[in-house]
Amino acid sequence: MEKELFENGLTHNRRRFLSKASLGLGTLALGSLLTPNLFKGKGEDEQAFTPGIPSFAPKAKRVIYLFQNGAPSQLESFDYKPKLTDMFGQELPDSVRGEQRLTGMTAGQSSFPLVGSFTGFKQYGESRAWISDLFPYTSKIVDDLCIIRSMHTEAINHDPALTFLQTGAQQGNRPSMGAWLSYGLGSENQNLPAFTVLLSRGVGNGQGVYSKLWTNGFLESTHQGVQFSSGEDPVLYLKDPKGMNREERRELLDNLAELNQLSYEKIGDPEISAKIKQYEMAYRMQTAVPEIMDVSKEPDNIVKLYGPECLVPGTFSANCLLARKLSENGVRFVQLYHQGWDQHGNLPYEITKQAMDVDQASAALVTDLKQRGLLDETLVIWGGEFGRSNYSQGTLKADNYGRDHHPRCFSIWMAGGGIKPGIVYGETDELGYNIIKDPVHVHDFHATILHQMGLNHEQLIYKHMGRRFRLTDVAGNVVKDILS
Amino acid sequence: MIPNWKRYLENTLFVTSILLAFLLLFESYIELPAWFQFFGRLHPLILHFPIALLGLVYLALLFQTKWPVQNRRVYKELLNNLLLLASFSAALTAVFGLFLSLEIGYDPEILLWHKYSGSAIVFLSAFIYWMQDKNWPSLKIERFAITVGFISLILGGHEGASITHGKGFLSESFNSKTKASVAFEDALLFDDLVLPIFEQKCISCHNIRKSKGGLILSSMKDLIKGGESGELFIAGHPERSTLMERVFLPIDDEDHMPPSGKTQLTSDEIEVFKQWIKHNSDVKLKLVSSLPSSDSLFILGQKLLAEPVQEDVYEFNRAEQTTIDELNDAYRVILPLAQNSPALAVSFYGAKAFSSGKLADLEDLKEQIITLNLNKIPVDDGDLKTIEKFKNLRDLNLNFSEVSGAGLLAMTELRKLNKLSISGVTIEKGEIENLLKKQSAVQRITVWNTGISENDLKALQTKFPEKEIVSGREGLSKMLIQLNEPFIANKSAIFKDSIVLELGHAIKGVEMKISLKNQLVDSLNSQKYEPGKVIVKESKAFTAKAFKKGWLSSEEIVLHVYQNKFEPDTVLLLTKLNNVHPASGAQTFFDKVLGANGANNQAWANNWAGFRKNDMVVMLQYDKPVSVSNISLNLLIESESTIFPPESIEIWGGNDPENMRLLTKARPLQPTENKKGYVQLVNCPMKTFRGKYFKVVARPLQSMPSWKSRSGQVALFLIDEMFVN
Repeated sequence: MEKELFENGLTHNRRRFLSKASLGLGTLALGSLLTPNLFKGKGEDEQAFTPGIPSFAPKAKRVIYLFQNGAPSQLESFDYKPKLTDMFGQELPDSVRGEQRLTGMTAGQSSFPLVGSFTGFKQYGESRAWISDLFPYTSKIVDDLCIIRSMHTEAINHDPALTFLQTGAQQGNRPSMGAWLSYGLGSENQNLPAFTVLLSRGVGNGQGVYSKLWTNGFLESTHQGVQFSSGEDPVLYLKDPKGMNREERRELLDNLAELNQLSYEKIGDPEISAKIKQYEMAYRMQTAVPEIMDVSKEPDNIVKLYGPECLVPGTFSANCLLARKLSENGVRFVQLYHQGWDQHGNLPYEITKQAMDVDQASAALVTDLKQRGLLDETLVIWGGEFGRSNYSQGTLKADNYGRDHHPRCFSIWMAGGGIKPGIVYGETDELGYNIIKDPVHVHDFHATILHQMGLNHEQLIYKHMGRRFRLTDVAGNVVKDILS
Repeated sequence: MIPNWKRYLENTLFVTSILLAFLLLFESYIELPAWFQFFGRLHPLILHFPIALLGLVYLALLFQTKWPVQNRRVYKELLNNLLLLASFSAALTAVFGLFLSLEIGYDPEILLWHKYSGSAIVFLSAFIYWMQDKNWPSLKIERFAITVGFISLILGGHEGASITHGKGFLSESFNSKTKASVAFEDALLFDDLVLPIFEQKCISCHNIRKSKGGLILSSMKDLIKGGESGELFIAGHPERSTLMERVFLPIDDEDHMPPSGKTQLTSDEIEVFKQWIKHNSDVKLKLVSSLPSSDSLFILGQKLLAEPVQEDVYEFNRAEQTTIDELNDAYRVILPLAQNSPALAVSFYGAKAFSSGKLADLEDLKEQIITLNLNKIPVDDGDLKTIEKFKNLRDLNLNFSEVSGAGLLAMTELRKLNKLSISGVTIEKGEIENLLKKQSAVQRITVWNTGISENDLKALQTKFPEKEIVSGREGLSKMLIQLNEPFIANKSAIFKDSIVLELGHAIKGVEMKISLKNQLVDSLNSQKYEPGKVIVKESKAFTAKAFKKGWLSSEEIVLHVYQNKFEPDTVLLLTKLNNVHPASGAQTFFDKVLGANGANNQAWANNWAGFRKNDMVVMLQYDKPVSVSNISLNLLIESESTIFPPESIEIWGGNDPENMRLLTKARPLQPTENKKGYVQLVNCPMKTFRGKYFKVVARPLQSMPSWKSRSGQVALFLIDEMFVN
């Protein structure tokens, strides 16, 4: 044996090693020459990314994201699970739950009684999608919607989940979706910001929203989301102060820009040039914004479409109408937040009210865009940050219960923007706990949105602190099955 | 000396061959018990033995002249034994194969060939074995026999593989296109989408030679005839069709089709069936000409038949970047479609900034513009002439512009126009019809708010089934929706001596009625609200309702105005506020800001002052003495949580802070059950007292009533304003 080992060692000399290695590597190289895509994996054709222009022809030009903050329960909206009603009060089987961690609120619970939806469900449209009775208006437009029931995330609490959904990571201070789109595509209308945010809240248990969710992160601050409020003063401090007129304002800005420019040449901080641009945009916004935000001239049939609430400033309906107007005028990314969906308790009462707040207006928005021929190029998204548990939180009564957070599956819908209409994608198990078909992770969701806007999510990159960051971080696949 | 096992095996081989021959000949007369199926299913398992062993033995025997001389005998004996084993395994395989062939679903033609070649393998190998002992007359004959045996092995194996994997399994790897794909433009729904699915996945068991369930699926006639279970489908109703039922059954259900173990239908194929039945099982339907491009069947067909839709390749050259830069400004935005694309998209914003000249300037880019957005821009028919010059235009948006039907019809040059949006334009049905006829390339036209009726729309869609005609929610003007409630539009609902009531409503042109007696708003008790005409001189609650023609009247709402005659000059809060509800400290009570009711409403947390652990003691100081006869506290009460009115309110008065006397002590009514939050004004009337100092002492409810879960504990009380009258 020793002799053999010794001989073996003699045969493996340097000459042999080098020649074998070069032969091997050389063959690999030859392979990659013959089949250029040998080492590319399944990536698509590379197209270098230039900020401000889509990399390939986009389907959608704008996004309106109707974000339902607090996490609406999928079991009372778009995911029909009659088995839960059959198994009312029974324990959640361990085999289903697996290793899922619980929030601090239900970790102390000794039992996890299953509870089905208190409201009925019916099937609608060509796709025979199940929609609960809480969303009558949405059920009427179901042939325009793609309902995804298999969204999932890792985050289990609001802040990390919100941050994850908006910025692509659970830790904050990365740029938000709208900021990435603004960086990637620029603004269509020079008189308006590329990214605007509108807030509203319902009577349900609410969770806060904060500017971290529409921040520009490490991107230039011109890509930040601008929070609009409905009402007399859509943007604070937009109006000129008393006594100053437009010409004076113009002169002031010109002088200021000169000073800032000198400063920029001396110091070189890119934020200075961003500031100059911001002032210019604010100047143009002064004329553009009041005109767009003025809803008093909307005709009666529009008011009826959205519901009379759309003229009451600060409501979700009003924000939807404004979203349409902003989007129509070229704002790339309009984000609405409607708070109050965090039904840990008193779910039947609260979610009914929440649904009433949003149902008519969301459906109206899709219809309104469609009847103006804009739905094709506008991607409308509706959804929350995670789902809710199939077991009750707190005491389970026949007519009252609550649901805890549930990251493993939740439902959203998308319309327009080149997404296939009239389909239901993805499926969860009988108990509404795990996904059994076609899961869509938050990263996949982001990748798909960027794809529809004409950007390759793997190439929309910004180098910061030595690393290349992107919205989808290091993951994400475009969900081709829902694209038309 | 022949070993025992060899003898037994030889005899068994002999017997099995006879059995094989018997089964071959009398197959149709035999009925085998069901559990024989087990042996039949062993066939795919053990067939590998004869193939490998016979192949090995034959090859070795063919090259027997090359064997080294000294090993010849050993090899011969070894191969002999191997051949016996191989032959026996072949016989067993063949017999099992016959059992298996009785199962359904095998293509009868190939099966026949396979049976015979398989049996030939067995007989030939047995013969060759037998001859080995006897010694062949000559080497040539031996080689010939072995070659024949070898060929039969290959043939039999090949046929077997064709049964399992289909013909052309190997050669398919060299064809990148799987079948002669029919051009999508010519595709017929039945012949090119539906029938191929039947042919691929169903016909092996449902054909003329073998029709399981009496069902044949090879032509439309047969499909209509159905089978043992009845009709296969009901035209137009996939939900009632047996075909769909069978396909959707759970896979372990024995009626599920195709049976488990066979290739299943993909979800696309199921969708094709469903859509086909839905379209009345039309045999003649041509996809392209009869369906609009947004129809799900069209899209499905496109996916399955057409080449993947390539990005539009534009044949024109790029425009000069300098031209684009010059023309690009804040109100006329020119953007490239994509990075490497020569195509441009132009959008106009700001109606006031528009002029025909701005549109005419774009003539320099007339080749490259493919999208033009003139939404709400006052474009007129004259401008349409300019637009006509953009020959490559695909997408044109003229919503709410000032073009007319005649102007649109005059545009004949836009051959590539794909999407046209003319919502809000004055145009008639006849003009739209002509437009669609002329612009044959238009696939989608949006005509909301153009004054045509729902019936007109339906008629148009039937006339142009391949085009998509989009409109919105027509008929909304006829729809009755309920108005929302009026609200108080005054800057503040709190006044000193009198207030001119201003009612506001979100919607224009609304008429409002109020009932100052706080009764139902009807013709008896109410009066019309007119701005400037309603003057209220004291604290009042009144109901209001809104009306408008074409709308349902709103709900009634109770609104309050409050009088506060004597605003103190100084307010001192002498006790601590609850730390969750500090409001604005001492300022809260007379800041004229009312708290609102409702969780998550910012006012709830901010404008309500709360007291729990201690009394509220507020000192009101007036520079000049005032005659006070009533002090009221505006409270928020929510008995379902722990917010109750104070159990007692004492009003002290005097002319100096040291000497005050008790003017009145009120005990507010406590709620008797769990109730949601509501606002209540609690009055403390007293004999008119004239003084400069007034002290209000309110004690929180010390012990909550027994019907509360927290009975016995101290309640919270919330107050946002005080009124001194």
